[in-house]
Amino acid sequence: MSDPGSSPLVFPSVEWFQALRELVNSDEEFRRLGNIDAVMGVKVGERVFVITFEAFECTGVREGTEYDLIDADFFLEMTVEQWRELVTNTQENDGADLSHTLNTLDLMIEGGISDNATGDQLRADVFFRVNQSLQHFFDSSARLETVFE
Amino acid sequence: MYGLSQILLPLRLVMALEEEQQQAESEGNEPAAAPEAPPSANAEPLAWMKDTVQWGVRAEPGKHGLTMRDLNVGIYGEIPESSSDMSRRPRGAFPIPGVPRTDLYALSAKVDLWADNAVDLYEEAIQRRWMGHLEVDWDDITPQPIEVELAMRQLCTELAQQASMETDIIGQWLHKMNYAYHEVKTFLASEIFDTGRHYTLFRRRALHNDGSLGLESAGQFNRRMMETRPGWTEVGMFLYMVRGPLTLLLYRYGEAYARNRADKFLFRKCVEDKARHMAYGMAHVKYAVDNQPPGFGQGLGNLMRGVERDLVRDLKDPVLWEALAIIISGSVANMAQGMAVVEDFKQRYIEDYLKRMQWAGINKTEANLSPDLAAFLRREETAEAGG
Repeated sequence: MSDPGSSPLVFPSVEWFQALRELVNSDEEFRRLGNIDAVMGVKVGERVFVITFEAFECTGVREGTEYDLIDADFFLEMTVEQWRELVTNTQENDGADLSHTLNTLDLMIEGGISDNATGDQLRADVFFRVNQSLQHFFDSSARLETVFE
Repeated sequence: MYGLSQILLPLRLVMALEEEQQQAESEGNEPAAAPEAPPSANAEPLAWMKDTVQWGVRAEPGKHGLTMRDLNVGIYGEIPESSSDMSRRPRGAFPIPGVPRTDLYALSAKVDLWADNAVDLYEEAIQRRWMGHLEVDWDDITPQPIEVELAMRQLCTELAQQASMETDIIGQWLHKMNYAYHEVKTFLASEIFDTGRHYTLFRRRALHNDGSLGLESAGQFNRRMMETRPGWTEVGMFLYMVRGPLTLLLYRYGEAYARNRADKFLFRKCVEDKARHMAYGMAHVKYAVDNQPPGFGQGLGNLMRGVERDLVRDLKDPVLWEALAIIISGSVANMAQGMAVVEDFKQRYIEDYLKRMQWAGINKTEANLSPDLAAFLRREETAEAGG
């Protein structure tokens, strides 16, 4: 959970992803998983966020537009309700439970959740190449006190 | 500055050799025939210290540390289009006249093995390495109903076999690759390490909970990969764009339908490794298609006609699919539900295969696909027509 006394963070927002960024950048376990070089888009309903990972850190978080997804290695897209379910499930289980891991959602949700905007399969595969780090990233949100828009 | 021991070392070596020779003569042995002049560039003592192809090269570490890419500066970063060097001279090392060749590298042209991403994938492999025997929480894998246990053992047996095949296939090509392309050779060495790990981990998983190994897998496609001789590119296409997507999907479904976090972790880390292997393979095949003479990609596509027949024979073997259906549904009684997911799996596999071939520039579409494989893609139409 966030520091006692601090305000809950709103999902989705740059502040929420920024807090997640700070969590993993000070997390030895995240670093130990190895280098991660990826630009990840996160599409929550109509809103787009761009998360950049470089070497052993999350180096950037910003809000963007659909056009930014063209430059992303891959982007994760779900409806607002599906994201809300994932974040809630992560909080309740101290990490995604067995049916809410990123790979599982990608296989179970119609059309998948991860893709490359230009059809570049090599870049789309970055989602798989660093999957444990991505899972760790989103699992870390269990430590954020979150409210929803 | 050099320490005294470094300066004295060559002298000690000479003295030791002389001593050895005197001892041999005193024991009545024939002195060894004097070797030909040693292969040094300059007979002056310690002159070798001055020998380098290029002085003044400086490499700077980046955010990832001092990587192989960082070291590719000056002459050390010059990657030749072809190499006639048949020794194991590290690229950039000072060549010595008279060194006998140590191999006859069949793959001495860049186009036969290169991928631009190999240098970074090697670092990724090293920096994202993992230890399944320590990092998988094996105690978390508690016994399931016997039919699910047996199904899991069967899946893991097949995955172990796929991994060991990959080890052997790469192994029989690796020594044919010229050392000028150490980025590729070291990456493939890391892949052999990965597949060795996958083999032992899936074997261990099958044997977990007083388990046993299942049936060996149908072997037509394995044999095709092992016995293909024209080139590494052809083998790479089979390994990374035909078998690779199947293995990746099996890992992904293994993760998705795992019943504990330990299996989730095991399969997820294997997904990472496999996707990295495929990134090299796809990039190499595309590089070859782009840089070989016109028609090369078409030739690869034509080659697939026969290969797909082997693939179909393997895919018709029911054992793996039944095991997967039981894992998915949780019981033999509910296997029909699981089998519906398995049919989705097959469709997804063939779609993935086509996508990857097209990405590499090979004209492989539903229109020129084996009819038996194309049938997997028309499942929805068939179901609608039938139902």
